[in-house]
Amino acid sequence: MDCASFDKLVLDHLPAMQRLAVRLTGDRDAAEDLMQDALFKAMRSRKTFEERASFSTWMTRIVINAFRDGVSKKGTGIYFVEPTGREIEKRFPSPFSAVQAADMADHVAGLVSALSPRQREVLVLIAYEQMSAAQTADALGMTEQNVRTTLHHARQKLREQLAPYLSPDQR
Amino acid sequence: MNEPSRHDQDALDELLAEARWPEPAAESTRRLAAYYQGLRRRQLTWRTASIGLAAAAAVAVIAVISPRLMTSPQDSGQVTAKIPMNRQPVVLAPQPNISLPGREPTALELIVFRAHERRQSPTLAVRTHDLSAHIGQAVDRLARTPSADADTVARSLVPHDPAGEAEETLAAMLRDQRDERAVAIVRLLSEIGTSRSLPILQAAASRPAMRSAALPGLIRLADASTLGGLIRGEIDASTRERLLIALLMREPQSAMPLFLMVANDESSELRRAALAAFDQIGDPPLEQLWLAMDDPRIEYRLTAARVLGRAADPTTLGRLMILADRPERRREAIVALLASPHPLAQTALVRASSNSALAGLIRHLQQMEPVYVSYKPIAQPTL
Repeated sequence: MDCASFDKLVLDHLPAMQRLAVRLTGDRDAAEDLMQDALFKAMRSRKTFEERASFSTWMTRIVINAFRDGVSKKGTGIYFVEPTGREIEKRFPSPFSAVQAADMADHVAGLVSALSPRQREVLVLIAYEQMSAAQTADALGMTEQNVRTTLHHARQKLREQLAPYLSPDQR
Repeated sequence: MNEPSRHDQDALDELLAEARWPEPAAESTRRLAAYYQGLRRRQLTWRTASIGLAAAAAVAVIAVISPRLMTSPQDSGQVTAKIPMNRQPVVLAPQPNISLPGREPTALELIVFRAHERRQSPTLAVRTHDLSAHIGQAVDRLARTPSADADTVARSLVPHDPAGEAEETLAAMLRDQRDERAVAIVRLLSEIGTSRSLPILQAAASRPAMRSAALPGLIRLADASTLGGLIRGEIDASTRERLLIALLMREPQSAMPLFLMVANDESSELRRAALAAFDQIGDPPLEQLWLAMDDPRIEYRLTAARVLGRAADPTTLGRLMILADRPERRREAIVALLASPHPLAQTALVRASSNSALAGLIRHLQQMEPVYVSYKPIAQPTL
């Protein structure tokens, strides 16, 4: 694929990839940093893109790799600051103050973005990027079984954190 | 551990579907696109330079190891093999045709000179001595007396400029000027400049010494996108308010999204400034706000609601009360009513609080809106 066509694909997909980056990092500024790295990787890896494949899936893989590179540098606080359980509790001392302090929608997004990196990747791709288990496995370099197991653990964790809002009494 | 019930499974999915992340800012997307395009340009430049270096190295190697190839066939009497020149010559990027003794042109000077080159024609190259002298005097006056009113000084040029050449003359003068005279020229361009002066004014606004000189012109001429970029970088509150008002006066379809981004900025100071600017508009773009209330993004709708509520005219209030009856827009309507200074809005909220389901929502939203709402406790209706 020639450079001009490739560049057009990158720029056409940029907004969608940015939204993916925001969901992964939970923060717009961190997402922009992530996307800079991803764009650099995309340019360098142009020749690995096979035209018969889905550009969206290929670019998603690039963004995920950039996210993982950032995660591996977590010691310097790149890309995300994963709140500890204590920090979450401090911000949201009770379920009701959590809803009062931040809309439920923000609260849920914050919990998703605070999952462990691997759980976050799987949940975001399946629940918000509308990928199938097979597509997610392909994008993340995992087996489908692994994807399903990781998704189950992610949902389990969120269910525990959102338990007060799931109880019939509370709804 | 018990397996989650089907009810919990569906409830969790509903909550997950509600998750809301902040939308990436359009400015951020533009920055990333520009970054990517910059990467591509650097890559092309590197490749061109690499090819050139490789070609030069190849020629040097051939010259060193095969001296016979360099002799003339007439001298040697032999057939000379052609030197393989399968490399393209290095193509240098076109450089601006500017020569200034002793230093590189500044960015502002390049902008000015390129704009001048594009417009250059034999007729424009002729300047009357009279106009030039008056322009020089005007610049001197503003440079010596910064407190002088630029508008008054600019008007003094009008009788001497029947052909409307002052703008071009000032732009051409700018490249040779420094400090106070350069600021004076930018002030004059702010007053008399047309859209042709926008590049100069935008470049000047990025330089601290010239920003205040350029802003009046930008407020007058710049499009919504440029104004949006200037607002965030502006420290002075009154200038920021002028920029916000100017933004609201621009074509609503392009201006409103930018305005709402400021009204939803992380900085509470910027949010308050946006609302204060909106309060000063005599004829606010209400229809654009109503359109924004149907945006798919909840954050956007809520911001529009906070602004719309301040309109306080009876028609808007009536529409908001009708909207509050729609469950899918009830939250936005209540946020707007909470933001309204109109007594009827408060009356409507008090009446709505008699409904226990709505009372909880109103109290919840009231606690969420401390920055935007003139807090008034909702009085319980008397029985």
